[in-house]
Amino acid sequence: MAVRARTFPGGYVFKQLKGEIESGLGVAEAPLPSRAIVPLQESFGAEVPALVAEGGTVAAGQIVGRDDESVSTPIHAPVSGRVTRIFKLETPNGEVTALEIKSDGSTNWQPVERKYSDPLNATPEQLAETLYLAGVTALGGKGIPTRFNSSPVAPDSVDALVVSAVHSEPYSLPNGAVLEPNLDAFASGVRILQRLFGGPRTIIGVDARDAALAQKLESTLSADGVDVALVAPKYPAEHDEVLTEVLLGRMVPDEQTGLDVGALVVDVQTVLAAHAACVEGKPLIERFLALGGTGYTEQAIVKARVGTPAKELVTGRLVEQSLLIHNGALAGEPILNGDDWPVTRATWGVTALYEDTSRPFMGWMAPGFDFDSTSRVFASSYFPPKARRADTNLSGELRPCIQCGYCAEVCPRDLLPFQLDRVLSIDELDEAEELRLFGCIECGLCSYVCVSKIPLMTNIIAGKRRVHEEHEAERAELAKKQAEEAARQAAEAQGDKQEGNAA
Amino acid sequence: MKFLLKMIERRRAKWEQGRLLKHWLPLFDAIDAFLFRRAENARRAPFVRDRVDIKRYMMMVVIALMPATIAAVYFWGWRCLLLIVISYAFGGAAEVLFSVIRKEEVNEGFLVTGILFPLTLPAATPWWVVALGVVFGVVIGKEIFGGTGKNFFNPALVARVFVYITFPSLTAGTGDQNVWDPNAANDGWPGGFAQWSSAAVEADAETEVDAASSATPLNAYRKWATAEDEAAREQALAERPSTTAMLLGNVRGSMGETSALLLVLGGVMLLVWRVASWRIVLSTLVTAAAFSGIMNAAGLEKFAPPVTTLLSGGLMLGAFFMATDPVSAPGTRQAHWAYGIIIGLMTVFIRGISGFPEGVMFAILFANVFASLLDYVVIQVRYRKRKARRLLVRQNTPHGRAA
Repeated sequence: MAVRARTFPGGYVFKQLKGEIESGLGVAEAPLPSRAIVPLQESFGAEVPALVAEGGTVAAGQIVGRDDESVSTPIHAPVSGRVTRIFKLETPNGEVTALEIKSDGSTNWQPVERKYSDPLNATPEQLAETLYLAGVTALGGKGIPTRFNSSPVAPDSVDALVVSAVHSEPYSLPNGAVLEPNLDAFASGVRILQRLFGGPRTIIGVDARDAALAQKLESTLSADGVDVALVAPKYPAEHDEVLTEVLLGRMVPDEQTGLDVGALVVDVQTVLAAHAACVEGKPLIERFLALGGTGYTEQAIVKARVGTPAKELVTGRLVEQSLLIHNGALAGEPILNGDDWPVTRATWGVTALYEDTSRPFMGWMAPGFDFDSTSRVFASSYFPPKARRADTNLSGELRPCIQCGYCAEVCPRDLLPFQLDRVLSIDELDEAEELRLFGCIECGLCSYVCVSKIPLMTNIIAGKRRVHEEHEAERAELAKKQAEEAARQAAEAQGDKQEGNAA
Repeated sequence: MKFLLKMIERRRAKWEQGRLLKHWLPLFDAIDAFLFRRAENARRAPFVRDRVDIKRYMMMVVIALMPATIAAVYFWGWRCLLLIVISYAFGGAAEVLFSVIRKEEVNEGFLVTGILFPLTLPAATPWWVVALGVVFGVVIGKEIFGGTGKNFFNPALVARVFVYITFPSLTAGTGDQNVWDPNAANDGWPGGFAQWSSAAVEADAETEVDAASSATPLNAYRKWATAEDEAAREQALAERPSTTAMLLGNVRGSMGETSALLLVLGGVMLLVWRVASWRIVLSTLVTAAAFSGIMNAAGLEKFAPPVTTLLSGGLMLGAFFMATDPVSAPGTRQAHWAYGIIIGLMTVFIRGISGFPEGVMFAILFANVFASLLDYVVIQVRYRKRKARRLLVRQNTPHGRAA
């Protein structure tokens, strides 16, 4: 094992923040939810048609939505009970159809059908089918490719398997807590995924703070041709694009993911889910979740059913004035309203942050013994480490960009966010593309460090959408022109014919 | 401070609805945000934010200028402080006025301009010159370009050049008298701390002598280098201040630029705080020292040796506090090196060849012009490969536009 942790240019090492999940904390079992919300669309996948009707009864683990034609993965009922409602759920990416299932209180689940007894003797096709039917292929940036269209990438293009046990984002799930009690299951999951892709080059990236864990992993998996490497806890190391570069040395071009350069990046939970599916026949209906942040009275790691409404999950755990966030504090989505926002297969945590609305006198001149900053203008840079204050306050007013350059310094993709923002603000979309607008992996660091409090990432994401819209419009224009041209030619041909007839 | 907060929050409605007052809301907002942190919370990712804001960032520059400011008072008397206060008052007024006209919030950029500009002036400068200069700098140097963040030139330097050219006799560092010596005048301590303005300042204000005859280190050096006969040369040599004097600041010059030691002290603090770009500072100073050393060694006496170049005039103030103004400097790291090299070269050139004894402010303004160009070149080089790939992709896609 490499003694020195691997790292990458750019990025930002977060110091210990307040409300972080303490290491050594065990996993608690969350109670079965009274109802589950099941969107019929997940991350990169397309929306799938429902296989059940309102009022029907379902068993936990039963497939309630499936479409092998579109890029998608089957959706399972996470709890047993009755479908009480089929409705449109508001998500950041628009409306999706969702089911509401009232739980009948039963903790049983229906196993996935398997045609083998020992997964390590099964054919890759059999394993792929199990993973697909268990819903495991929905995880990761572009999913796990199978012949069922579970990913936009072809199954035979994977030649490297990267397992991410890195947790550099504040309040992310500590891998130790999940891995330590499940080392054997994890090893089995790695072997299954190796078999699935015909023995790819396998490398596990472990957070450098978990060196002991890395040691254990190495001794468990050394016979399987698995490399274990330490990765510096620098955000955003867990992003596919960054991890592929750090561990494999493969540059991921703009607009692509690790999978496009042959590297399947999966996290610890995916590996455990692969083991559960292929060995126990358990579909992916449970997730380990980090409940971290200053908005909790007590931080926790829980194992909860997919579909559990986030609000139900955190009931009784929050302090007053807290903001709920789906996943991390840097790149997550706000859970602003709606009691229906559910835990999905892509969820690894529900972060809650204290909403500081106090107005301290001359707050900007505070010495800042517990302030986190890329600059070194606060006392925290010169005194012994102390957990840094973390709340949602912007701690400053929106101001014009002064080109301080912090955003370019932390960008893991070597972009110039301030330049991108400048050209986007004057609608120079072509120039924005030339400045690698689509190289952005939306990690949120540029907005985090901005001295002028400019929402750089938000503006860049909006810019991407505008460019897409413009391309759509251009394509429509082109199609319209072609149709007109065709019509004109047809009319001419018709005219010629008529002339010919007349003659 | 609770009562103050309550008072301000109660006043807000009055300002927002007042027929005349509502136009002055930017002023109210500025005071409000200056005194009490806003209760604005993130609604989009990222939900935690870096604690540094623009007020803090700008204020750190002011704090780093404090050693040099205190030295100015020690050397020249309390009048220096008056000039700084006048600069803040008039500069701030111009800033607020433009915020009101533009209906935008007041920006904190003038916190730096307001102190940097008077520090580049001799202590004897009349107060109305300071007022006029700072208003010119803020309005012509910044506001007409669209305000903070959009200006090409460093506003403090625009103001400095304006008064330098418009009122040469008042601002060029006048007086043929010996440097005001606190030891002689006040028996050392408390020096200028016990005086409104030093004797030398008083003399300067009265005589308004020609700039070329004044005894700033640079003028003294030039006098020596261009002396026609041995006698004049020897006399000039005697006028040249010692290296120690230049290091400590006990020499003629603008109020904030004489003590190289204290400027370096403040400047290094800026670098440690990561408020100024060390690349710009390093490349400026190294280039200036190396280039002047080469020219001097080549026998061109009009070019001062490296030590004199570094310690005299405004080079330290310019390199640490003006060249590093992020708005008028390039935005990319690689361009910072080139930018500093331009400043270093131009400073030595202007000092050695032109009619002006001092060259730093012109050199920085000159380099300001090239900031965007340098950025452009860096971006072109950095993205060339990726761009080639992107163009290929574009041509192969149905929506590819003519490249």
